[in-house]
Amino acid sequence: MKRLMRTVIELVAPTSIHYPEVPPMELGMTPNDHLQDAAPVNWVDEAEVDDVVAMDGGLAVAQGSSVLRRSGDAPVERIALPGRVTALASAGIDLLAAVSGHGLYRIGAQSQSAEVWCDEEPVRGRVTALHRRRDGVTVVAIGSVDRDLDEWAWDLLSRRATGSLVRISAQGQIEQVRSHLAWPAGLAEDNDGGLLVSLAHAHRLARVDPSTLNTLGTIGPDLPAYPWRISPMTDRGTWWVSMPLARSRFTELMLGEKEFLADMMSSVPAESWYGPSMAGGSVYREPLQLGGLRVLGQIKPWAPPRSYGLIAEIDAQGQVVRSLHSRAGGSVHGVVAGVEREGVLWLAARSRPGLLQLELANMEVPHE
Amino acid sequence: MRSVDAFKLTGRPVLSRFSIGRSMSDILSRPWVEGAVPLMLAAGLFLLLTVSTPGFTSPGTQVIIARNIGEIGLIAMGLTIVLVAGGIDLSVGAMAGVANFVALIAFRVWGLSALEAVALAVLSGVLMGTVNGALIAGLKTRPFVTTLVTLMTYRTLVQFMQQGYADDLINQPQDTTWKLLGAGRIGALPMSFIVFLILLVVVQLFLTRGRWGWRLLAVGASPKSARRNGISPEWAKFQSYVFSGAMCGLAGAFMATRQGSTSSNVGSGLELIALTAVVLGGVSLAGGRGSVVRATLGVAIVAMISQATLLNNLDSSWYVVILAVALIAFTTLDLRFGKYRGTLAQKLAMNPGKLNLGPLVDVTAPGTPWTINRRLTEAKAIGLGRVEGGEDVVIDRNNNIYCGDRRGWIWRFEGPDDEGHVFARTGGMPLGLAWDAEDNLLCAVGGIGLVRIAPDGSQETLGAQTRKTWHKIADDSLVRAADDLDVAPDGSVYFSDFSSRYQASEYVAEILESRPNGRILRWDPARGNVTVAAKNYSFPNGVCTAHDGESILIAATLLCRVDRLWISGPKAGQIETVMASLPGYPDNINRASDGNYWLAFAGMRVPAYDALMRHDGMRRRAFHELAADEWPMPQLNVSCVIKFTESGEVLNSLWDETLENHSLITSVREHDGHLYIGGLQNNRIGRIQLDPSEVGDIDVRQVPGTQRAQEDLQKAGVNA
Repeated sequence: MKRLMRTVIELVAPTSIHYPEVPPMELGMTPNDHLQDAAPVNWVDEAEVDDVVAMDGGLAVAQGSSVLRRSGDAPVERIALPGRVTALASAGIDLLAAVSGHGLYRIGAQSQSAEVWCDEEPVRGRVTALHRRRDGVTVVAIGSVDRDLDEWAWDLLSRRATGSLVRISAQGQIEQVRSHLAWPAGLAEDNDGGLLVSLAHAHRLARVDPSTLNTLGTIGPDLPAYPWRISPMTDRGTWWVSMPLARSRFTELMLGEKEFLADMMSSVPAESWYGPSMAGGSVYREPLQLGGLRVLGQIKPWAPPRSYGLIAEIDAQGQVVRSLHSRAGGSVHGVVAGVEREGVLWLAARSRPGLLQLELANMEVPHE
Repeated sequence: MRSVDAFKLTGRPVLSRFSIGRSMSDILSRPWVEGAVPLMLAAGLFLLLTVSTPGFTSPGTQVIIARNIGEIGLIAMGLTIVLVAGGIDLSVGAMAGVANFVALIAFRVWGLSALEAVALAVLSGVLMGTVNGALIAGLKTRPFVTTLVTLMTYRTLVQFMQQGYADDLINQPQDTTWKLLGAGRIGALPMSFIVFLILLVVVQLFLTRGRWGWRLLAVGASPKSARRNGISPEWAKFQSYVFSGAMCGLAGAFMATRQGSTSSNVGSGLELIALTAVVLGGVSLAGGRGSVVRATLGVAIVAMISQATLLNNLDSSWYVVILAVALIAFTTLDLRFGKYRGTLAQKLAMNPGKLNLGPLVDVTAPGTPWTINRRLTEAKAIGLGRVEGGEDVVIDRNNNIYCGDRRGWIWRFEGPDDEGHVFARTGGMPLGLAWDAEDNLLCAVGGIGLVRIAPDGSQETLGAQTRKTWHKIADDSLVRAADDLDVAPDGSVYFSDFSSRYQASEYVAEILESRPNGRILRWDPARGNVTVAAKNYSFPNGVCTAHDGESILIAATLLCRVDRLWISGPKAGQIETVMASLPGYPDNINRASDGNYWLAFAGMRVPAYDALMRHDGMRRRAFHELAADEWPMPQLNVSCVIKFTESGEVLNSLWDETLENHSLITSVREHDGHLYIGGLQNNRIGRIQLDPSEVGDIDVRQVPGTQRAQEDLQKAGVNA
């Protein structure tokens, strides 16, 4: 009935009805193919990677249920953990790892093993991001109250906001919990001691008071993609925000179609749902949109993407100053984390190969 | 053979045949619906007055109304013609006044006969109209001002005539003809009303069916484009004013015979009444839109209001007030209706249907006839980069390869290594191809129909239309979307028309809608006409005559099934299932040399789209609210080819697992131990060698059921 009314109103006064929109990718977000130039890193397996962080003199990578650590040209250390490692944070010379179903683990600089640091209920699973502050306090982002990391699609299509932020003291005690957030998936310190949080399923970045965890407001524009992890501040005073999923008008339309969503989510396996996808699954099971049709042997790059590769560099105001893309038909999709170190951008992707590196030096900045 | 109803293949309840939205859309798209608002207004008013005004339905009142309609109607008819041609005529009342006096003077003073007097009155109208027309069309003066000036001029003329002949006009000669014209009736119908009715029919026919009317409408809608199309706007406008004058002259004559009034007020104010009537009838003041029949409805409304004011003993000034209010209300309403009618029709046109396609075979599971493989990956490319969308491919007896092209061409390759050249240009969307018994190339051309191309490349359109279904509102006579075809033993050609609502180029809309809009047509070589063999078919695509020639196989793409339509033998006219709940969207079917059949799948089913097929409302909203690139589609980027038996058993499947070379396959044709692969969106024709064990003795180019084909069949050991 409501829809009928809308139709009637639209017929009489077409300008009075508004449909949900997705902001265009323009200015700093103008699409390019830079991510396609990223080179695979050969010291990790080809499999998907969940996080990459910079630490003193090296890198740490979360892949499956292990953490891979490498400093300079030293041999790669592989630290095995009891469950899937969903997020990492460098804590001084140590590493913090969130292990699905077990809690937070601390990995010493010299040790090959990990010890439990905090396994209280709120942080035992579904951790999407970790952030260690200079005062020793750790902030943990939990995507949802009951959905695992891989079930982001369920959370997105359910239009809920059950994620939370948890503040843990230097001693490992939970001090503060802030809930009802739309899949917080990235944390970083901003330029004056505050906390940047990406609210993935609200497609916004927000600023949060680190002590009370109260939201101080959103920054930057409504994004055309769902932001995930935020890298620490670069030397240029910017942050890399990885955006593994692109928004589309079809997804926005679908969010209003409750009956269809209920039917699809109950009758179709999640990896074959309509909506965004982290990385190209089996095309034999995935739906197609008309723009993605292969015509005369080619898929056009500007086709509505199912999976997309995007990492954007934002300034302190949240404006995108440049972005690196891998468009429809590309191969570097589902970039969940990126960290810059000495002019090289390291990328963790849910496509294969999972870890890639990209020289930033020779890349022109399109919009100064 | 009677047309078979294929609706039951959708598995939907009977009620889902109908869609209120679509019927509304069809109705709104018809030109006659423009008269709907005036008609409802007239009917509503009639009912209201019948109930509220005593004596309204009495015979006396009806005669007065009919007489009113006759006289005002004639004037309104003239005015309509002027308005339709983009002008306006305010002098209609004055012209009628002059004509009234001309008739009276001619009859009473000059002693002419009644008919002569009437003719003279009409002539005076023509003269006055000529003056209007000459000024407006010749001197390019503004119609409004010009006719306002002539209105005053003609009124002055009336006064002069009245003063000059006042004494002589008292004389009233007795004349039967004169009386007959004024007071005569046939049944309950006054003379003027009958004359008006006859003229109405004639003028309506001329206006809507004749060249004269079309030119007037063109000029009224846009003088500039009319001129660019070789129509003279001046001449058309001039004619319209002369016509208006003639009609006013006739109306004046009738007034004279009826009332014989010598008051100088005769006909004054008629311009307002006529204008109101015409606008109430939905004639646009902006020109180019309107008909005299609709104007008549307006006249009826005005006449009813007029009579009702009289019967209710209201002051005559009330009449004017009511008219003015009706005029304002109606113009607003009609303007809205005219403005949004087209939009509304478009909005309602797309009415997706619900479909439940049944269980889905998992082609990614190993060890089934459907398991994905790479047999097509290494196909040799023919015409790579030159062909654009060869939907179907055929090979002639000299090994020349033919395929279509989305630019309307038919390519011909002299062998698989040839660069190819354009063999024919159809001007449409060439889809299915087949050979007839005389080695002519038959082509189902989307947008045209069935086309026969002789070996020298000359073309002949065999079937472009069929008879309109009498009970359908939308015109379904055109063959819009001919898709695939095959020849039956008797030489008739069966071809699919996948939509009688969308054009061939709009196949994407047809896919989204997924309603049984298509049909199977049959071209009869003896009569040369096209009849419907099966109606209400859901995207019928591939058509293939069975090996024994007694039935044809039909692929219903969106229903993911293949059915058999018996065309001869005891089961003629019946539809039988061959395969249902296929895991893909079947396209063209062709005979295999070993007595089986090849079937190409344009795309494969995926679970999410299957779910979407159950939600018609969402598909409609997606269609309306999203850009075409965002529309959900079946998975058309993967496809395969299967071989199946006469009974519908799937033997094996051929895939291009890499999806690089053959991602959307619409056709597969066996020839000389090879398989040729066509694709609607591909830039090549593929060719693979078949294993000798897969090849039989049947010449698949032969029309089944003919002598040679039967012999082949015997040799192949297949029970015919």
